[in-house]
Amino acid sequence: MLKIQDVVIKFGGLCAVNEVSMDVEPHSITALIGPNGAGKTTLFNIISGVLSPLSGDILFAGKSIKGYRPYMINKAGIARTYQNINLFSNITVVENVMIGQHCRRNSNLFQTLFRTTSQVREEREIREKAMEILDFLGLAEFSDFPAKSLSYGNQRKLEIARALASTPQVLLLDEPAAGMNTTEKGELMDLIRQIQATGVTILIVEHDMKLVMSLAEQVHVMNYGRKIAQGQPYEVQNNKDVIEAYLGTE
Amino acid sequence: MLQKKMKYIIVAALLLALPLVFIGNSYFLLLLCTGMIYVIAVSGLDLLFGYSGQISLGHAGFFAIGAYTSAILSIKLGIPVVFSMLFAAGLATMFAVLIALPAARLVHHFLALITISFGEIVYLFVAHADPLTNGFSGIGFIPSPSLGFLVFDTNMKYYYFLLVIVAVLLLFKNRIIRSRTGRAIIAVRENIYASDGIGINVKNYKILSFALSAFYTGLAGALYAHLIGFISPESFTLNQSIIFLTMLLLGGMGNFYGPIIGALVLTLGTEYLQVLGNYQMLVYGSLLLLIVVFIPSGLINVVNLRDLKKILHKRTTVKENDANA
Amino acid sequence: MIGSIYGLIAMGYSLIYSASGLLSFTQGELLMFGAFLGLTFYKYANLPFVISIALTIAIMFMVGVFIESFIIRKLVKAKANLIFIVLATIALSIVLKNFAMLVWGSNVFQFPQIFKTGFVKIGDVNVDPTSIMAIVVAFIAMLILHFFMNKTRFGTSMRAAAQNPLAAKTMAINVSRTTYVTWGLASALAGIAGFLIGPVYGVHLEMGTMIGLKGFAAAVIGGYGNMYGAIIGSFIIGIVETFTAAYISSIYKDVISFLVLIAFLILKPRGIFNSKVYDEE
Repeated sequence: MLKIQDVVIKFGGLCAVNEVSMDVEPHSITALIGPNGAGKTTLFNIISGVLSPLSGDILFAGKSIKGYRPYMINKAGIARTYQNINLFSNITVVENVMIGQHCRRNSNLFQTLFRTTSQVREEREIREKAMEILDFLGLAEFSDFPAKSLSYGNQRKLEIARALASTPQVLLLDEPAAGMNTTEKGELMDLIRQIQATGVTILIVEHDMKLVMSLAEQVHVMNYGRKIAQGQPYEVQNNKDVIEAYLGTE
Repeated sequence: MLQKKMKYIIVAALLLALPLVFIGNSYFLLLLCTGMIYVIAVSGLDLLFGYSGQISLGHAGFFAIGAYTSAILSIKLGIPVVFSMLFAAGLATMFAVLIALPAARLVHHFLALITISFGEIVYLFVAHADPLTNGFSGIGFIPSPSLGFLVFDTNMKYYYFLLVIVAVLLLFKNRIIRSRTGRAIIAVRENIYASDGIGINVKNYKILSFALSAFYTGLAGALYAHLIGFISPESFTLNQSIIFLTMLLLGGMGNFYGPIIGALVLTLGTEYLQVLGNYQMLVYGSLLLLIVVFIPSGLINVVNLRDLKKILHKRTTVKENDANA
Repeated sequence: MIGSIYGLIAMGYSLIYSASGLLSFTQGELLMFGAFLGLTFYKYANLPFVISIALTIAIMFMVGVFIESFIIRKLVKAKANLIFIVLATIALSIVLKNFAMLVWGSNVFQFPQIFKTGFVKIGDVNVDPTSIMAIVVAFIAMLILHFFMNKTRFGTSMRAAAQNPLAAKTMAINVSRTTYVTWGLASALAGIAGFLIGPVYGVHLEMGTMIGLKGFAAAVIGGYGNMYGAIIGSFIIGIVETFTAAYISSIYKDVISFLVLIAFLILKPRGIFNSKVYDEE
């Protein structure tokens, strides 16, 4: 589904991502882990189009998306959440999810001004679909609250809701469990599995090892910009290089 | 639902009957008309600043383009006023797109600066391009609009003419806000980074906001020119841009009713300030300062807050939603 | 010569920006205020020249501190959106202008001659000695400022506070004080500029606005936040303007300045020296 080929990016003299390659299998849950500063979010930024790689390529369903702008990548079928919450805070929860559908709808200005039947119909559909997604995530009761009034855990869920609204084939989750308590993490894991069940491919960056090991089918490990290991969770867990990367050498 | 319809009918009836109360007082009618024109202009600014988060201190420039273009077209080329007004608004929109191309990349102070520059350049052009614009002498004898047999040459008639236009424009604004397009614009205001990631072409929507905004304010300028019958550069300085902004902030931005309240309150208020003559700007400046420091969200939200304290269990959002969505 | 005036103003802008990350549109009006103050002292109170200038500087400094303490601080504490702070400074500039109108009226005032001699001949150009004085004073002010910011302890702590307020606080630097001193200094700079320009062009209400905007432009061109850039930027604008006025027409000089500003904003918003500025989203 997603093929990352020898991607390189530099900031100043520092090589933040150094010839990293990864394959993400369709319909899988794949994890990207590594110590802080390893380059994981940078890689996410490259995949989602925020940054352009110096060399290497990103293939999505066989087609190169290198150099695509973020909004184009979303339209192509990749959605993401962010490490720091990036909601549209001052508008309501449901509106956030309605905006999420933007690239899948196409009422234009003219239709809006003259309230054509198609526009009215589409508006209704947008709202219905948004409520469905909120329902799926257990946020329906907050639909008319301003997004910023939600609890931290719920805000993270809302970000996922918004991303799902764009009907992605690939969902990039950047530390979705950060700041959550155990209960919330449990809910999150169930949620991710449910999302996978709908056919979405998931690539997740996470620090919580328990979560990663129980969710992921494939794990890729990065350190200092390079990929140092990959494999199934238990393989990676026992990999010497990985242990060294996290704990340092004796 | 029926209650809401009733409210609309009552308001509509009031608005239609209003000028009859002032049948002898042409001056007050003029004031009402000016107020409505400002409502349009400030609603335009709201689309840009309130909804897409882009500050403009050069809206007097669009106002001027609208006014002068319509005046010149209708006088020198004899184009029917209704068409010259639309064309003028269109021209203002084109300039907006032009300025939006670089401006979309800028924020805050730099955006303010580029819009100020734009406004100043328009002013300087209008003040010095004598063969075309008559420079400081201004343009007079600007014709009144006409539709078939109806000529809107008295303040009362112009009032009804404006009423229809304001109603349509506000209706359009409301429709835009509650649509996919409007939501995209608001998203851009809220979080550019996230908007980009959720499939919104940020640059295009920023430019669109500029364009829409300029159309409204440009049209307001044209309406102004044909109402007063005389325009001169003095009405289109940086001070005017600031007045627009003050009206917007006073009423509340990113809000349907905010610009209406702000524009009407200040237009009527200005009348009583006429006595102060040159000190008007002092009042505007102080008012702006006070608003920015104490009630940046404008009157509309101050009122909401009070309502809220009465109704303990209602969530703020419902009220805000009503006013905002 | 006008370049050096813009320079003073532009430095003021840069100062404020580098100190607090905020922008202020008030410099132009502060210049005008300074000019009026100077006029009052020199002409009406008949105080000697040096004392007039000293008093003006002192009062302008206080004004700057006042603005910072009461208005800016309140907004920063309320975490107001940056744009509101900008608006506040714009509103302030209007209030200042109209307040001045209240106090002094809207006529043009003549600054009494400072030098008893007439025009001085340099080469074969007639130069007004007050212009020369303006350039000299501006130059001295820049030198003093440079020295102050770089060599003295307080100046260095001001720069530290500007770059990283939190770290500065842990180093026992009174950030609050450095902030209001910065604003006070910027205001004083404007005051000096006003005092210098007064004798050359007369004193009236509108004198500050254009200059304020151009000074802002100069700061942007040189690279916002960069003091030396501000100086270079102002000279560029000063030269462009003078040439335009001389060879094309003095009306267009304003337009050209704005166009140059727009050009820079479009092409090189970071200015000549590529300063670190949050110009883009």
